[in-house]
Amino acid sequence: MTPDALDPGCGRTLEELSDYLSAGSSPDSLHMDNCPQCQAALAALRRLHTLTGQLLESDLHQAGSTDEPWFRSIMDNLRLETKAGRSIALAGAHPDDDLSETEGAVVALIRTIGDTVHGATIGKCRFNGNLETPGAPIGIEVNVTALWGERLPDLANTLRQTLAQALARHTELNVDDIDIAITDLGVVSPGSKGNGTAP
Amino acid sequence: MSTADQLHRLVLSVPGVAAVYPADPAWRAPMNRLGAVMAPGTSAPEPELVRLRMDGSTAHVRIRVGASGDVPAPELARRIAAEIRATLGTETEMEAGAIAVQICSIAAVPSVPRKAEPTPSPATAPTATTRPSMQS
Repeated sequence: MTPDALDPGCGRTLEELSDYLSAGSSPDSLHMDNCPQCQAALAALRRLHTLTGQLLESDLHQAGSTDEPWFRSIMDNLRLETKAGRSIALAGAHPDDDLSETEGAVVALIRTIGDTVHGATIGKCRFNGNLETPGAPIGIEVNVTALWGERLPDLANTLRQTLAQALARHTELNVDDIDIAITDLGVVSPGSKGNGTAP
Repeated sequence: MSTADQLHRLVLSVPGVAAVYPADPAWRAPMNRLGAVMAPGTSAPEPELVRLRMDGSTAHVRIRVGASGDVPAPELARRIAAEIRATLGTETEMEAGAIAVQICSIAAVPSVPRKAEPTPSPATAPTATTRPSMQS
């Protein structure tokens, strides 16, 4: 069998997915319910909605604006992640095995794992290196929005360790560097459900 | 039951598999756009979940899955391929050829406490191809 060409991605836009999330229905729902890229983007949108719900009202007002840099950055990256991306080879037990995982799946894993770390919300996430060459050294750049009141070095260390564990478990990538940059700070309302500390 | 259906059930039963996705990632896209113009409300064909191609008596298989996160994803891919090979060899008269398994999503099993999450929307719940025990 000739190996299939690179996954072209599903082609749905973030706007379509956001509409689906808001309305709960779409003429394209059959696809969205069965597409891993759409599912990952929808999950990330849900988490983003949770974050915005935790911000102070003043920040929330700004967050609703597409001119707000951190919000626009996260949305831009989610838009990229609706694509499956490159195919990352996995070692097979049989010579005719053709095993892989998608770049989109790994990026979504990083975002999901990172978002579980208290005080962190993942923004940009990029791989540096040749993902398609087994064993090639890979660097990962992760931008993070941190909640005000977190000790940032501790947050970065926890995040780096958590991501390294998840990547070691679920990929065969040779990750030699996880570069974490705190690019924004958010403030949690004292009355919100978030666990962050108000200043 | 066709061999493709048999393999679909088999893969869904492998521990660590949360879902089976259409083998062709671009399925339905042309049909959607054409259908919206030509015949609103017309249903599109069901997606091909297991791509099975025959070359004489040799079966080549392609499948795309979502991982539950309970099993390391690389190990899961190898288990699936091995199960498919074993089934083709023992329960059919086919010879296993190339077996392509792609992990398309990996659910996170948290090692740290999760933040509060919103109630899942119906819009985000995978449907027919999801393991029943894995549905939320």
